Amino acid sequence: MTVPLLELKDVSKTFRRSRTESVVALGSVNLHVAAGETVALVGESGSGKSTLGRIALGLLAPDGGSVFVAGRQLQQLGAAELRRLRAEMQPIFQDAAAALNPRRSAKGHLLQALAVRGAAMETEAIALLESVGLRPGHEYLNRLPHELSGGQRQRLTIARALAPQPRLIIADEPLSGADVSIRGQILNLLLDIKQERAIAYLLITHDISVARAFADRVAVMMMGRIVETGPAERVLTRPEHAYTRRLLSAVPVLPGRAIIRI
Amino acid sequence: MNGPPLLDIVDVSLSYRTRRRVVRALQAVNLSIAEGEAVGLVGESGSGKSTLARAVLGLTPAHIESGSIRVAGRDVTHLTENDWVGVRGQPIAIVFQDPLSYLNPVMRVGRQIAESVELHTPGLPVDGRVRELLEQVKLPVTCAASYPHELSGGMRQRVLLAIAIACRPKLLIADEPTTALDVTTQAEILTLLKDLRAQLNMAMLLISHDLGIVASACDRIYVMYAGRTIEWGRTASVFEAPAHPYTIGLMHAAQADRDRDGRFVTIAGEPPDLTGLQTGCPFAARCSRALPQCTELMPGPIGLELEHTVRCWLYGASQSAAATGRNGAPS
Amino acid sequence: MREFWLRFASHRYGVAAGFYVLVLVLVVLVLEVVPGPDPHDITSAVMRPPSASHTLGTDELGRDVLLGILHGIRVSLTVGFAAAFGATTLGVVVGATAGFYGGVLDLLFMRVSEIFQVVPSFILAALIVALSGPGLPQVVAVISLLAWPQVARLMRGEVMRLKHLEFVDAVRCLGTREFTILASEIIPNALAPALAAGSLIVGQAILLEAALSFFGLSSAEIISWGRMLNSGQRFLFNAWWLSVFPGAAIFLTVLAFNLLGDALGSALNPRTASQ
Repeated sequence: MTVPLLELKDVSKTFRRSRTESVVALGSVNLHVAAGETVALVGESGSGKSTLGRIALGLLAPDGGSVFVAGRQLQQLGAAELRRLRAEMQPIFQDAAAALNPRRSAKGHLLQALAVRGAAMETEAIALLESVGLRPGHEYLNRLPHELSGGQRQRLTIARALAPQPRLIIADEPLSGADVSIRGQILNLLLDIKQERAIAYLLITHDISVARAFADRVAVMMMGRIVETGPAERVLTRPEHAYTRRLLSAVPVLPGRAIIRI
Repeated sequence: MNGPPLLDIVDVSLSYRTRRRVVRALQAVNLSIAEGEAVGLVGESGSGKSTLARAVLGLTPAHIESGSIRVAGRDVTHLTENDWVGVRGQPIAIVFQDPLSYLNPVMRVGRQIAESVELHTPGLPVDGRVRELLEQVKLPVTCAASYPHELSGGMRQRVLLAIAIACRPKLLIADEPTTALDVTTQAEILTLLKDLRAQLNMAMLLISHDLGIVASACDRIYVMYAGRTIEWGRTASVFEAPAHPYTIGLMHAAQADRDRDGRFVTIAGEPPDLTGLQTGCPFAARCSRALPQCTELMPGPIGLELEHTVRCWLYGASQSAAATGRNGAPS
Repeated sequence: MREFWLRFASHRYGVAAGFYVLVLVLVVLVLEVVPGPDPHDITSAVMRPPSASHTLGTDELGRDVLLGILHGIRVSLTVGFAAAFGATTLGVVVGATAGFYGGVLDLLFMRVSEIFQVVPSFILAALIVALSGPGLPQVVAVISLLAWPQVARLMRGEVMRLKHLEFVDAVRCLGTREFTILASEIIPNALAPALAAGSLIVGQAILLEAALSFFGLSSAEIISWGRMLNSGQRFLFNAWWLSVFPGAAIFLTVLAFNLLGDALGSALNPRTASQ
């Protein structure tokens, strides 16, 4: 039994809203992601899925439970060791514009990320840009974030996430910010990355169709707890929990099927 | 359809200036809504759908350059602010995407609904009417004492709806009413809209980038791209046999369909640039089936089946619409 | 950099103001090299209105007003720049630290800044003068201490807004140290409003120096526009030129720095590029 890449054991988190009020964001959550696996964490707003994502990335400390990355417990690591381990898991955020430093060029962002593994060279940056579909790479080097379109910005954040050669990518609503017509392009990109580089994904989303398209396993969250997990195929077609069923039935389905014309 | 359409948008073009460029937000748009009808308007960013909604109520800073908009027979294309008072609210009301931005954060919601009541039905006992409206939108009466931030997203949207129907509008424009909401709340709001429409015999213009919502709630739909309507017709016809390559692509994308190689079906390229002069179809650059004439001239409306029209040269070659076949391919 | 100058150049008033300031600096430099007639020279041509020999008139001791104004530039600019620099540096450091780290540090710094915002300027000036005598360095110190809170507040607000943005988290996930994040990710993006406020402080400093001079709290031997106004106010109705010209100089210079501040503020924003 190999050690999972990411393991969250009994993780809980409470936020203090004021002196008298607290909100339980997560209540004893257990989740794991194996190497090369894609796990979709599905839930609506307020379910705690984003909080879980941030705890998994080590950006937030849980109040209870523990987080293991490649078998090492995050809370027990020293600051320097934690920084080194960070290279293993990289984030992709929903709002690509907010995920980029407005004063840094594409080259600047990529070199900064490449420095983590000592590969801060322009040639590497160009290769990364082209690998996410920004071709020719050298034309994009000096562009600032506001000089890129929404889709291009998201590709840049994906390139940045790939730079340190992580084994896990934690993507929080990676498609929600993009236009529908761009989503397919981004989905294909993520799919290519998954197939070519065998990177594991923790895909946090409220969009069932994204989970359906991508995931090996699905975990459904509601009010800070995981109510159902299992193979994607099973959970999405034969849901067991009442909430999962409610979630699936609420998704509007398009009448008829358009015939594929290539 | 008896009588003039409730809303009749004919050949409307609208541009506005930013610091250095002219943005052509709408180009020769045609759209009509009959009484009691639910019409959907689908498009992405830059399609012009929100601009169109706002233009109907005079809420855009730009002027309509050509064409006309008629509301229940009355020409509203060039109204002054004072005149708009007679159109906004009644007969046309509007709700927007993000209820939190459209509600006064320092006023209780009951008071905000009351404002609408007082404005449009003066002399009516206000408290009773507010309670009635809250019931109609399925909100507990105790909500009236709450502030917007104390309510959930779904509840806030219901408050906006209450404010809108206080005017007893003939037409409700809903601009992305559920985009900011969860899937389960979304379903509730759509059901509510359906009920309200039935109770008040209210027509609806539902604007969204989400095809699923529009499919479930609307009788007819229009698809917009780069400021133009490129396909329209009965919902069932358009969804079962989408004609325009953009519409087809949109449907595949909405369902995350995959092709034979397992890759997601996409629309290539980037969203349209609305500045600068363009000849021909704005989708030509991204279209995998573009014909030579597509970059030269924008096609006029071409009728397919009954109540299904498309603006695409792929269907222009044949004269008769019936010869095009079920999936819209040229024969 | 090039884009910065392009954006700056599109503000006509800012450019005009920039030229005005350059002219002032030029005058100061020229006077260093070629002192010319001494503005302190007492002559017998007392209280003369503007004429061919004395372009802006003379004061009660026969000193030429034009010379006084030209030599007064140095004081105004020195005090202005020094105070603005001091206030901005202090404000940026305190505001950024308070905004980024929050907690007790934030509380402490903000209470301290409030004290400085609340204390009346003259009490502070009088206190400092009482402790170390009148003089330009003291004036600069007083103005810096009074003006840094406004910069700190702006900086703190911007930093607090920025630190929650995703790009900060993204860089954290690369293993960057917190302090490096503050210095190289957040502060460069938060500086624009603070620098714009800083340039406004130049104008405030010149006015405050004039006011302190007016009340004799500044250096007595040096010619400054404020001191000229001070002396001239007694003669407002019979020798208007003694107040009007120094007053105009103060007004124009403060206006120029305000316009420069506006132009600088929008030129620093990478997004107000040509649309």
